[in-house]
Amino acid sequence: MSSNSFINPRIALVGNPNCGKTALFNALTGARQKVANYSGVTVEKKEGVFVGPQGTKVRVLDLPGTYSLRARSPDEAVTRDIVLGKFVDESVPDAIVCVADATNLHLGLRLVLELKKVGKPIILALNMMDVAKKRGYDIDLNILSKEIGVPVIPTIAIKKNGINDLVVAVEKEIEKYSAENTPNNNSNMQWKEPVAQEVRAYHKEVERILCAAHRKQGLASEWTKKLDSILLHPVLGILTLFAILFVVFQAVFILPEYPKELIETGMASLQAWIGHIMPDGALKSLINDGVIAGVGGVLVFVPQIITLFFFILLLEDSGYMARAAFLMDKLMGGVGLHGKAFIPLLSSFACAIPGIMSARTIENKNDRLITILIAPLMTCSARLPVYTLIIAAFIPSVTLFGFANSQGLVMFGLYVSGILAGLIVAFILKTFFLKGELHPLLMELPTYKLPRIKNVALGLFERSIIFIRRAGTIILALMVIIWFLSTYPAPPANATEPAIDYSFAGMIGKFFEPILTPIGFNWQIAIALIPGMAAREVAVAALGTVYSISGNEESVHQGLASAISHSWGLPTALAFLTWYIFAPQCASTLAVAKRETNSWIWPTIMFTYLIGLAYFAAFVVFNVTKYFVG
Amino acid sequence: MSQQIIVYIIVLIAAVYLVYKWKIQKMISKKLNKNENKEPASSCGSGCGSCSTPSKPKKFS
Repeated sequence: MSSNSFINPRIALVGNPNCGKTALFNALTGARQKVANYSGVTVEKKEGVFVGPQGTKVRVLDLPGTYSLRARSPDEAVTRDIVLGKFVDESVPDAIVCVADATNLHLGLRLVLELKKVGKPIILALNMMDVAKKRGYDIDLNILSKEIGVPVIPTIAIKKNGINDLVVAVEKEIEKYSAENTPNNNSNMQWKEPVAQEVRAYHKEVERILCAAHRKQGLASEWTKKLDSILLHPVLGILTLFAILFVVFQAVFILPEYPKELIETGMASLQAWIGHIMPDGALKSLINDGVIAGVGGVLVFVPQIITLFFFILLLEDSGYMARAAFLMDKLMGGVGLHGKAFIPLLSSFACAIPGIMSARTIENKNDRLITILIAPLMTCSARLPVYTLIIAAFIPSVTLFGFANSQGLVMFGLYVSGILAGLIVAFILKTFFLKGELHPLLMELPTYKLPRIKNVALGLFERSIIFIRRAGTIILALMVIIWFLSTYPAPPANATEPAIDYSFAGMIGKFFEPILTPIGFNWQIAIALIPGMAAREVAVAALGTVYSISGNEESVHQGLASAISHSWGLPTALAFLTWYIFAPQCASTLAVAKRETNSWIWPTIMFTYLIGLAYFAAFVVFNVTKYFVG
Repeated sequence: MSQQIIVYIIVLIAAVYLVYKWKIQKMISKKLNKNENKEPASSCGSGCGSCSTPSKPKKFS
């Protein structure tokens, strides 16, 4: 490197949505950022580092996809501001790697022409070369490079092909640029928002370049065409979408049955073993009633979480997600939701946090706010332990219509209830509070791809680790505190009630009981709901600990489901499930809503309407069920 | 009695851990972000923690 080379240069990965920027970022930096086969996965800047062959430490910024620097949505604004050096505390990147989909060069090259106005070195990474070759696309890369005036490197990011060449090109371009410019004298910025005439001129120039570089147009994927004729059909498509969702929820209940039982048996054996080897006392109670009953009660649901994410990852990798958004556009438009809201809402089934962040892809502010406000109504994976526990305790597992499992059907119903509630709330918000015009959905449909086993396996592994780590840290610490609150102070010598009634937890639970009695909740549930405000699954662990301390030996050994089926009635169980459809029991979701709306007003509105809805719905369900069941 | 003492220590550690996790860690990361906001993030920052960025740079030869 020359003597005036920039210290730790920074490069930005810029490109159209779904062209493989994040896959390239992962290949360059060794990161494991989420990649999927639909646009809008990356909505904020990510940063990583690599060291080139010449020893240059290069910082890499992965940016949200965009078609132009004329940003129309908050995620595109992040890219524009970084590239133009307008981002807070970020200078203009030292070089830009423009990533283009080799099967869709026109839009990629148009962006390169616009980026050249920024005045920084540009390297064009022509990604997905394998797909392009397979489909018959071809172009002379030398002529292309000469005509467009930037180095062109062919890459296959997911297979890490061409990455070394790209790294060498990056180092070379930065060195060349830094030899000609000093860090204080490197501003060649000529970018101005292009007017319509300039945009047309860009398109003409791209046509000329493609023609000069002997661009051979390939064929669209035959598989994609055939599959789309069914999956995008107005009737067959919707039926297939519902069939897929139905199969997923059936599978979530049926497939993990054996590993779930195995973990339950393991936990029970561990409790029995500790009971056998340790003398009676506080420590034994803490391990058995606090740690194993609490944390173990949550770990039991790992197989179900894995099953759910297995299907989500398959659908994400295959390219079906964008089709589902297309299919739902009409239905969502009917209630005033923008079609682009589908991906954020779908992401919310995994976790509302990335879902709320994905709403950045929506241009209109009111549409974005509506999406953020209803995202917590989509059933996130943290609700799965709660739903499974109550369903297993109160709904008998029988086969209906010869193929459907009754417990899976109830689970499906709970998910549908969340979706319907979201649509109704969106309709009310759009009609009365956040009025505005409906904007048509414009989106590129990716070609179908076979899900990559490595990507799915890695995704499942990471999800499991996150869940287990959470159980072993925050949930474990919370259960120790709950055990302490449920055990101390010790009951008086002449106590007639169970010991937990005299504990701090008993006092707290009984303090809140009058507020919760109208919806059928007892004081044990009140205790579980308080730590459950931090995260939903904590409530299951808390119930495990509370019932382990307060329950009788026999029912506790049969598991938490058995303990609550003995002490709750069906009205309470259904009210509890209803509460969990709506209740805003996740502090992180509210914090992200605050960050994304840059105001406390919207998270406050979100919390208020959700808690009100949860209480009202649970009240109705409890009293109606009580009327019929008695 | 020894069981009681161990239990009190564990409860204390759990309480300190939770305070650290929810208050102190946030304050530290906020301060670090202010001073060195150009350093690579340890995770994607979306809050769900599903994406990771390695702490060591990848080396090419």
